[in-house]
Amino acid sequence: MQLAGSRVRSAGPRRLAMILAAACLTTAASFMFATVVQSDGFDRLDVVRITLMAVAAFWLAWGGCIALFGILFPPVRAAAVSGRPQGRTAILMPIYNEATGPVFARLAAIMKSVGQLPEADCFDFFILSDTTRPDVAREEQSAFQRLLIRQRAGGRLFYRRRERNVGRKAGNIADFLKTSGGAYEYMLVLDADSLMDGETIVEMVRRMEADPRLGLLQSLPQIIGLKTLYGRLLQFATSLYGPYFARGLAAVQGEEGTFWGHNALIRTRAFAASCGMAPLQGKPPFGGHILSHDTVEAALLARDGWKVRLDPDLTGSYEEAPANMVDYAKRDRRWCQGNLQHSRILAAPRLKFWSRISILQGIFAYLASPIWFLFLLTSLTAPLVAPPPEYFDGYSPFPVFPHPETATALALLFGLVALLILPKLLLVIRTLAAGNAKAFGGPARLVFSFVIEILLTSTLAPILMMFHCRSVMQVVIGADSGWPAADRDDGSLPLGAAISATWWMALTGVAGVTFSHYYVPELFYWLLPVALPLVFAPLLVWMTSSVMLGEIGRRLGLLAVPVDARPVAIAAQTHSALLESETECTPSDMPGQSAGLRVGQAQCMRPFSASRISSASRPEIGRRVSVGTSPESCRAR
Amino acid sequence: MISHDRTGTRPLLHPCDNGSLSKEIRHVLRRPDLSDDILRQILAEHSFDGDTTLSADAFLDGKGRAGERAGVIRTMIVPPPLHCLDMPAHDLEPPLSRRLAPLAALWERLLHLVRPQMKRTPPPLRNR
Repeated sequence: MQLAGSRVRSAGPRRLAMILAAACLTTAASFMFATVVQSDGFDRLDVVRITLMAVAAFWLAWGGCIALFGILFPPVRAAAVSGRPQGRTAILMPIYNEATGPVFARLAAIMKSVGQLPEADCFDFFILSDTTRPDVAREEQSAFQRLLIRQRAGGRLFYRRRERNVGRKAGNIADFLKTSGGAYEYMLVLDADSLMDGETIVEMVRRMEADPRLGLLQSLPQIIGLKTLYGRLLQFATSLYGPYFARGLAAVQGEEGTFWGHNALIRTRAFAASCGMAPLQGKPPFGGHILSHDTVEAALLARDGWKVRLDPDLTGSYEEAPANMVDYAKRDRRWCQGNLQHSRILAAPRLKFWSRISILQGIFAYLASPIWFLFLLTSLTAPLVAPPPEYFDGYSPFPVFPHPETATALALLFGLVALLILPKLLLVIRTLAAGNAKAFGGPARLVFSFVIEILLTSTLAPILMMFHCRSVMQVVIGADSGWPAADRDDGSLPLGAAISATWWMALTGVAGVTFSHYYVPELFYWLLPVALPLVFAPLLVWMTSSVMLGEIGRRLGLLAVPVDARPVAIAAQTHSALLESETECTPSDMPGQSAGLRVGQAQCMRPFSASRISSASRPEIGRRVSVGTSPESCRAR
Repeated sequence: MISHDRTGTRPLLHPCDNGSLSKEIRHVLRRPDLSDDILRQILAEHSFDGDTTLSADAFLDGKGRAGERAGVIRTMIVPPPLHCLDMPAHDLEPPLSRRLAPLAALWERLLHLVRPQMKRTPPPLRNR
C-alpha cells in the first residue's frame, strides 16, 4: 500500500510510461500493417488505412495499458480524519421526470443508512427536481411529504423544483449552490439511480477533511440490479475488471482525476468558485450549455489548483445501468453529444495537461467507432483500386514475385486480439491467484464466464460500433435520434423494438457480405466476424435483453458477481422502502373515491415496479410485491 | 420560477404566536435562522394529519412529552437554509484577443524593462 502523498510524485512518470508504452505498441502495429498493405503496391488509400489503423491501435493500446497499470500499481491508501466530521454535507439527488417510487425509495434507503450512524446530524438531503411534467411533479411532492413524515426528517429533507430546467443537471446543482450552497462544506452529488451506504458517505467526508486541497472525491459505483443477459454481462465485467481499470486510471490521473457526475463528494465553495460555465457560442449540438458537464468540472477544479481524486477502494457505492443494448445506446447517444461538444473546450485556457488528455479520451471513446468503420470500408475498397502485380520491373530479366506477408498479417491480428483480451485474461488470472474466484461462482465458473464474456462482447462489438457511428453522425448533422419507445420495467425488449432499432444494421451487414462476396472474395471470411453480428443484430439485441436467459445464467452460476451471493444491504432497504411506500396507497387515495383528490395521490396509479430496484438481494421480497401491496392491487381495490 | 415545497393540506385557523413554540421548533430542527414569520407560516400550512401521536390543538397548547413534540416538529416542512454562493460563469472559449492578452501584457512589460537600455544614438555615430 502506498500513501496518498506520493501520488503527485508518481503520477508524472506513470503518465510518461503509459504514453510511451501506448506509442510503442501503436508504432509496432502501424509498421506491421504498413508492411502488409504495401505488399501489393502502395497508393494513397494505403496511407489513409495506415493512419486509421494507427489511431485505432493507439486507442486499443491505451485501454490495455490502463488495465495493466491497474494490475501493476497497488491501491493508494487515502488519509482520513477520525471522529466526527466538522463540516456539514448536503446529499443532493437531482431528478428529472423519473419514476417517483423507486427514486424516493432509494433516497429513503440512503437516509436510513445515514440515520443509523452517530454522524447522522451532519447530513441534510435535497431532492432537486427539474421535472417538467406536472403529473410527475405532483407525485414527487406527495412522495416527498410521505417520506418526510415517515422518517421524521423535517429540517433535514428538502424538496425544490425548478419549472425551467435551465442548464440541465449542471444548472440544477448551480441553482442549489446559489441558494443554499453556503450552508454546507460539502455536497454529495447522486443520480436518480444512485445508491450509497451511509458508512461510505461518512468515510468520504473524513477523507475530504483530511486533505484541505481535495476538491472532489469520486467513488467507484458498482452496477447492481440488472436481470437481463446483457445486464448480467455488464455487471460481471464491471465487477471483475472495473476495479482494476479504475485503479489504473487513478494511477495515471493522480490529482487531475475524473468526475463521473454522481456518487462523488465535492467541496461546495471550491466548486462554486471554479465550476461555473458560460454557455458556448452557437446552437446545439456543439454550442449552448455544456451537456457533459462532469469532465469539464473536474478539469476546472484541477485548473484552480484543487485536487480531483478517484478512490477505487471506496466500496458501498452503487448505481443501476441500462439493462439492454437499445437503452445503452440511447444513453450513449446523449453522452456522445456531450463528449463531442468538448472538442470546443479542448483548448480552454489554463487547463492542466492531463485534464486535456481526459477530455480527449472522452471524445475518442465515441470517435473510435467511426474510425474502425472507415478502416473497414477502406480495407474493402483497397483491393479494387490496387495496381495489378508487376512481375517484371525492368531491372531484372527474371520475374519478381510479391513478397508474401502472411506471417506479419497474422502477427498483427494476434497482437490486436491480445491487446483486447490479454488485460482481461491477466485480471482473471490475478483473481484466481488471489483466491477471490469464489465470489464469481468458483474457479471453473469464473473461467467459463470469462470465455462467455469475451465471446459475447466480441459478437456485440460490431453492433455497438454501429450505434456509436450513428450517434456521431447524428450529432455532426444535428439529427434527432428517434428511438423506439419500448421501455419495460424489467429491462427486456420486445422483438419489434429490437428490429425497429437495428434493421438498418442488418441491411448494412447484408450489403457488406454481398459486396465482399462479389467484389473482394479474398476478404469474405475476414469480414464475417463483423458482418454476421450485424446481419443478426435484431435477434442478438432481443436475446441479450432477455430476463429469462439472464435468470438461467444466474441459476447456472454463470456471469456470477459477488452481490449474487452476498446481498447488498442498502438495495434490500431500498426494496423495503418501495414496498412501504406502496403500502401507503390506501383505497381512499384512489381517484374517484374521494372528492378531494390531493396532490400526488396519483402516485398509486403510476405503474412503477419493484423490479426497477435492485433485485440483487431480494429473492423472497420480490414475490411479495404481487401479493397485495403493488400499485396494481391498489388499483384493483 | 422555483418552488420550495411547503404545501400543507389543512391550514390551521389559529396559528400560534407563542414565542416559546418558535424557540422549541428552532431548537429541535437546529435551525436558528428560521424567523418567526416563517415559522408562523409553517405552522399555518402544516397538516397534523401525518402524525397521530399528538393532535394539532394539543401541540399548539404546549401539551405532550418532549419526544412526542419533537416528533411532530420533525414532520414539518421547512425551507432549506438560505446561504448563497457566488458562481461566476467561466468562459471556456474566449476570443483570441482575450486568450493572448496575458502574452501581450508580458510583451509590453518586457519592452518597458528593455526600453531604457535601448540606445537612442543613431547607428552611424555608434559605429564611429
